[in-house]
Amino acid sequence: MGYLLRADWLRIRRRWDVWIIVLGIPALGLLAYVTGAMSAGNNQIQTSGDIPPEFQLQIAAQAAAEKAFAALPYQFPQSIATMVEGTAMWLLLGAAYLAASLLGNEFSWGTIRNVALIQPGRLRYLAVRLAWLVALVLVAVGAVTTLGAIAPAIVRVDPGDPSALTQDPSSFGMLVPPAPVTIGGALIVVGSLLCVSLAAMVLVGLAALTFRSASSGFLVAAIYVVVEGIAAALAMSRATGDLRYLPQLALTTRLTALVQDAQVAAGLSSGAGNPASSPGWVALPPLVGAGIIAVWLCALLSLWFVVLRRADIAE
Amino acid sequence: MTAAIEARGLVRHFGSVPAVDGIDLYVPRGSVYGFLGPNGSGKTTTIRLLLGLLRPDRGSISLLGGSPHDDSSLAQVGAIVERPAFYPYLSAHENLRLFATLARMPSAEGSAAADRALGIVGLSSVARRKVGGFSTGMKQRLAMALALLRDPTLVILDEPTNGLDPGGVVEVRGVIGELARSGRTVFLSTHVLTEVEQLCDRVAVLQRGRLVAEGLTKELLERGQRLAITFDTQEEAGGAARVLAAAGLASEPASDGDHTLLVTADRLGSSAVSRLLAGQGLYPAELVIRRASLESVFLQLTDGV
Repeated sequence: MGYLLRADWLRIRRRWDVWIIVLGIPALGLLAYVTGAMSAGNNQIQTSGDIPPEFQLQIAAQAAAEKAFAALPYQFPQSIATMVEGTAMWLLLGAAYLAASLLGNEFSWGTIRNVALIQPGRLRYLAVRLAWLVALVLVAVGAVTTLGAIAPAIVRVDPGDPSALTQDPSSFGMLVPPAPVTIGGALIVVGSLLCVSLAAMVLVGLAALTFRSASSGFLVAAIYVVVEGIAAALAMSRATGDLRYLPQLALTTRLTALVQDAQVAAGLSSGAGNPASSPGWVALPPLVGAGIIAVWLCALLSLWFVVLRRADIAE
Repeated sequence: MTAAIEARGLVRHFGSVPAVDGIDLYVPRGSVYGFLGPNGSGKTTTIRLLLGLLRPDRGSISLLGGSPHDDSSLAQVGAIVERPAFYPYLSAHENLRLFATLARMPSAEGSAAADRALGIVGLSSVARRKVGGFSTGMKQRLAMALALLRDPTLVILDEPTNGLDPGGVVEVRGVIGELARSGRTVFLSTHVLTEVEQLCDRVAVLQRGRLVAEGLTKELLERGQRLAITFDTQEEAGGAARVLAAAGLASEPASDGDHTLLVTADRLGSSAVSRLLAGQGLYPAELVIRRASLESVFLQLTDGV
């Protein structure tokens, strides 16, 4: 397999679009983080006129609390989750683009024919391409995670003084984390978003292989996600009895639930406003949910190999 | 010794349309084999089947004694199939080096093979230029270089001179001739009949997915050769036509000469025809064998398609 990995490296290293994705996403994440951190650091309560002394204390407490809570996402280790969540959409789209481009372009350029003639082991070729795709997504997610870990040392945000708080901060309209975020919790969030990115990569990759084009792959996968989402929502609102479990098996439903479960597990969210609170939702244990996603990914990846193995190379 | 290519009862449909309909092929090792047919006759589909790019609905294929899906068989094959396909963002040398790596060549060996192949097709001076900026002819030359990269024993070429300028055509024909002289088997699919006439010792003609003729190029050309018999007067020509018809030989007036008959005389030969006519007191002013061009044989076999 070494020669296949080397050949793919020769192919990938000169693709500027791949490196824009892999390095650009962490850069975007850092930019968003720095912007957010700077605005959190400048959090001040504006007052005007003379304020009675009894209110001055309350205002000072609110200011301290607001500052403390605004600074929380930029303190290690929650900064990791902040950075990764800030790039979630880019990671998802980037992974999808990489799959569509690195698989679909082989067909649109016709180079799949040369590959098949020189190296007839199509499945080996695809396995190596998959390994490269996963590696590229891991590099992007890893870079974002690392930046999240080191960013608090570079961009310092004053944590404020939450002890000065005299009232329940939710009464000021602040979202209060139910528990301090640990490194483990932050990594659970990273893992959930990595899983979503890989799922996007696998789904778009399958569409690109089936429809033999990067753009068609992207489009078909997008249509699938929309249609599945609508169908699951409709089914959730109407299904009764055991049929209520059916929409819970949909890929997009499970991925959404995975992200929410990870946020709850990390202490970033109490779970209020989750899909679990929507009508027709049947909560599944997180491990069962993760198992369903694993089955989905294995099935979609198997289809990659079936599609390419059976494909006529008419390019 | 096994054949370079052997196909038996090859069938491939696209939907309900038979693109290849029961083709048998036997390409001896060391031959230059011409594969002719009008557009849409199934030439490229046949080549894709031979190379394992398409799967046949029925039939068997042996490529250098093995399956077209075997690494060991394909390792000895170089091919151009239809339009050239390369990574546009890589240079010509990088493209070839990439495919050399896929062919399990060590880095230095692959680089040397790429240089050698680019030299053969005259692309050394643009080896470091990105393929995206290449003209059609340059890409076609690069495709030829890729076909030669692994120093193959069997070279399958589908329209190798497509898009080349006259100089390029001559060069590529020279390369094909060189391959033939070095004992390699060349399977050449082309529209250019003079190419086949000049280069190929065997030829097959495909029409609507079926082989309509196959054999030595020389024999195929002989099949179309005619006797041209010229008389001094029209009366003599008319009399000769009747004598030949009585002997079971069909003749027809030539369009390009007065009092000239064209006779397919495989059965009797020119001396026998001469004797037959002399026996009836008819003495031709001229009797010559007209060799058929491959073009006329091709048009005859393919109904002028």
